[in-house]
Amino acid sequence: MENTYLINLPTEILYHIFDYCDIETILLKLGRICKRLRTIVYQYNRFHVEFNERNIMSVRHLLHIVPNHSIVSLNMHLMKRWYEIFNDLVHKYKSRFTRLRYLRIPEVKDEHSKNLFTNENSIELISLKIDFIDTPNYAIFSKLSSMLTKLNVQKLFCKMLEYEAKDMSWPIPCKLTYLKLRSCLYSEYFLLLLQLPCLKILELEECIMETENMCTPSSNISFISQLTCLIITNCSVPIEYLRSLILETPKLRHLKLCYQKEIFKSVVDICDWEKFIRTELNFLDTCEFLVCYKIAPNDKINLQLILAPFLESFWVNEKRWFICCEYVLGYSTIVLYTVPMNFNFYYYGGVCYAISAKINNYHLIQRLHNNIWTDGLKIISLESNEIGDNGARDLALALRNNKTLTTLDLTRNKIGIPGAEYFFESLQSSLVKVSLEENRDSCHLVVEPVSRIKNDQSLTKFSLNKIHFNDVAAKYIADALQKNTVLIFSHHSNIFNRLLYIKTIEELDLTREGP
Amino acid sequence: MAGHKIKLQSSDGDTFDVEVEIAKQSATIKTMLEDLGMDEEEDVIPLPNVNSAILKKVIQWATHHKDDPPPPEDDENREKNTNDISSWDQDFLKVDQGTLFELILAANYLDIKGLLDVTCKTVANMIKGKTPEEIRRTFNIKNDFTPQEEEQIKKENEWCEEK
Repeated sequence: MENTYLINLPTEILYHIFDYCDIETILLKLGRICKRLRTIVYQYNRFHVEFNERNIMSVRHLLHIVPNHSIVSLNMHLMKRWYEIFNDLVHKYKSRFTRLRYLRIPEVKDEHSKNLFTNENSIELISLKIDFIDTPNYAIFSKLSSMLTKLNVQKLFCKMLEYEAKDMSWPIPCKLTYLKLRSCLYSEYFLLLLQLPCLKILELEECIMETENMCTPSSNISFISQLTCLIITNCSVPIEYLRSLILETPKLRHLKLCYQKEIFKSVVDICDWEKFIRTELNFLDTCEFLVCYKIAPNDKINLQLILAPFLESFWVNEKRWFICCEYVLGYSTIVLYTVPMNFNFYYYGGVCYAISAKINNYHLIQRLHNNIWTDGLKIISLESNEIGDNGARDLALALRNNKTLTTLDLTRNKIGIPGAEYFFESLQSSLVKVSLEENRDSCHLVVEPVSRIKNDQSLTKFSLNKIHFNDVAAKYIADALQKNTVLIFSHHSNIFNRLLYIKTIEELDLTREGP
Repeated sequence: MAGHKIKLQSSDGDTFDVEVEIAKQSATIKTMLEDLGMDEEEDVIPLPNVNSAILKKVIQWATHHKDDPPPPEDDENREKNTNDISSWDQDFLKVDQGTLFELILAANYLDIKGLLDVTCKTVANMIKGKTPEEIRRTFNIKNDFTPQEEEQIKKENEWCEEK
């Protein structure tokens, strides 16, 4: 009989597994399995409770079994009645939230800050997250300040909050170590750090560059920020201004920047970026970034060339920061990022081919809506994407190790004979069906048979009847036949001219079919 | 120092040469190296709680994850999401239950947070969405409640059930 591994795990590990389960699963499922699990479930005291509009009744019932002091995390995500429910919990069960460390609420109103978060509730939060059902206005800031003081908050997540120094007075002293805001003005960045002397991690969506006030955010006050980690997820700060921001925080060791806006214009900007990090940010322990730029649809793409500077020893050996370079098909966009990529990147669903400094090989990826990537693609449809011969080469290389793809549609992509050859050579042994119709030089018709002629000396007949091709294709066929002794059936005169130079042809039939 | 290696010895006596930086993902080994000053290549770190097959898997995992950025400082506040297991980890953990649970125990003993998290998430995913009876079958657990206890549980939770 198989061993019963799960119930023989030590309690602390079972708790660790419970940490990833919702309250219903723990109480209603795991608590009904066997005596040992039931005992452990009832001793478990770090429930993460999440209310939503659908589960209000069932979770409220479950909380009859769970005392408030066994709840470590309470999530009232975007619920209209959150305040009523929270109030009920506090007053009905007369049990204090002594272990509550993480609270997520949808809004802050006057009555909440007065009645709810009083000291008698003994709440000492680590983290407070406010989603804001309505766009927060300046009046929010004074309430927020008093909440931070009352609840001893160390980490504040307000991703909708647009900070402006004139509206917000932080508690003095302010104990915040982590702050997430929607935005802050570039010119007020240093002031923000000054008001939050304990702040170690600052996460912004944007650091806004004001056109009328682009002076460097500096202060004459002697102050050393404790900031060790700066994250800007939709950054638009140009390199020279970024330099000033970073100089203000000598203890900074982790930087994470995502440039989704069109700040980078070309590969020249990428080179400047590489140089900036290598020469000026080499004191960092981790540097994660994503930068992207658009290319003209007709531009030739050479991902290897773009990636080349990032293959230097500084990146690969010294820092071990590995960069991936990808071309998002259909968006004419080049993206460069550190791997693993931890950004929400908005080209959802885009198929990309990519080359990474870590594996130094082309691969094909698709980003799904939940930002999970997959290389288990079965069908890729890339019609009308201006892929061209260079793109075809990269795609073919990317697909070389692919084991799942069955169909690749490359109709109307300006791919010529060289591009088609890449596919034929790379995918000879695979089951991928590549459609190359409506590209250049009849490549979908001539490349495969010609490659077979080249590789198969025993072939003696080759019919070109019903194939319409131009001079380029004719030259290609003729060149390929230089060393072959084959019979050619064709009604094309342009191939005849080429074949005059071939000595080894034994028989040539140029009969035109039909009128 | 990059490339510097140490020897790890499994419970069945096999030794494995592992780069220090890879081995240091284990807080247990890191502490041993720092506290005991074990930095000579000849020193062997005995790991009596981990057999060769599992140690090999652990080293494979740690090697793949050696360049991962350190977990964020606010890690404890991270939402308890079990859908963020990378495809490499998912493939790595397509193993029999014995191996999976031994990996959990090894990750716990060696104090490798990333491996412990991902293995526990995998087990949580095996639990989620199942009825108690399905969970028993999945993990081969015997229902040892007496009929009276069963009745009691049923009563206790009746009003919690979703209609």
